[in-house]
Amino acid sequence: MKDARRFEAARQWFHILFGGFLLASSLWLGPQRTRLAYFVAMLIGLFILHLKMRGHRLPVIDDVLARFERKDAAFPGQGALMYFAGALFVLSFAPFDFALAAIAIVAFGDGFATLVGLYGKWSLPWNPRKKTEGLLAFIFSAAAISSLVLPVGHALAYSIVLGILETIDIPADDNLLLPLAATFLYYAVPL
Amino acid sequence: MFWDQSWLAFSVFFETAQWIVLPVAVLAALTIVPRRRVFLHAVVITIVASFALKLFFQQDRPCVLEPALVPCPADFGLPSIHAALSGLFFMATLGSRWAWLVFPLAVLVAYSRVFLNVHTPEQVIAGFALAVVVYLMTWLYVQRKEAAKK
Repeated sequence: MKDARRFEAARQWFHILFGGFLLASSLWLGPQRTRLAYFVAMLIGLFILHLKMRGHRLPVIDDVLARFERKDAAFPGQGALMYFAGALFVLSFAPFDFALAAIAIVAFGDGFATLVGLYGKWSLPWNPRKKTEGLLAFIFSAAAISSLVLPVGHALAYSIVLGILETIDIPADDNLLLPLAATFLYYAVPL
Repeated sequence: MFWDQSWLAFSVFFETAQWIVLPVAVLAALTIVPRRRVFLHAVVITIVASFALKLFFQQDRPCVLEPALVPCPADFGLPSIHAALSGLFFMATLGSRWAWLVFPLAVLVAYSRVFLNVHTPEQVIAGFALAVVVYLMTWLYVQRKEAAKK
């Protein structure tokens, strides 16, 4: 139990740090280069998946997957691929600032929600597997980081809706679901 | 000269014969791709979603402002359906040896859209992003459904 918790905590710290790196590099690159960089990264990711599915051994990548990949992943590198796919989608279909906010919400909100939720005590009424402390951590961390690129009120509103969505048991990967939902939300409820 | 003409012919072929090439390519793909059910569902979803997104965003193609090498298509530009379907074929062949053939072909078809000036690079990337998202979601959904059956 303790090992599983430690493994999940390590995964989430990696998730957060990687998200922070992507966010900083996106701000530095600007909209067009960021889209191109994510596109190329996605192609490289798909090639790695292809090689793994063909049974190839890839020295560094295998170590990273062994350390951070969930045991119930549907295919090798599922988390990272979903993350990039979601990010590329929101970058392609929403304005750049909003896309960065959505990427930040996924990276920081989802990461801190799990980290805090691991030690949480109060289960949510609509999903006993998720904790109230985790939801609050999602909302505050996501709002704080996304307010760097969005007005504070908007950042908080998006973080609350996406935070609640993250606690609902939907049979889809959060890394993909949250950016898709964010894109939909942006056009459905213009703030 | 030869390569320029061949490249132009390739680009124009995939523009003018698209509705003949697509069903033939889908049927051919169904005989080789490892996850047929996922692929077939993803093709239908991608086509429907692409047209819906074109109508929603109503973003002009670049050939509205500058002439293209082919007659400018009448529909909107975001996302590129050629790029989306090319991406989908590549996704569908992942894990099989066909991926080595489909990947360069998909990249060439996607790039030809920019070369002909019927799409911007952003519209092409958006088409690819849509294909990846649709395929991954369909793949996960089918896997979970099959696991639940067992």
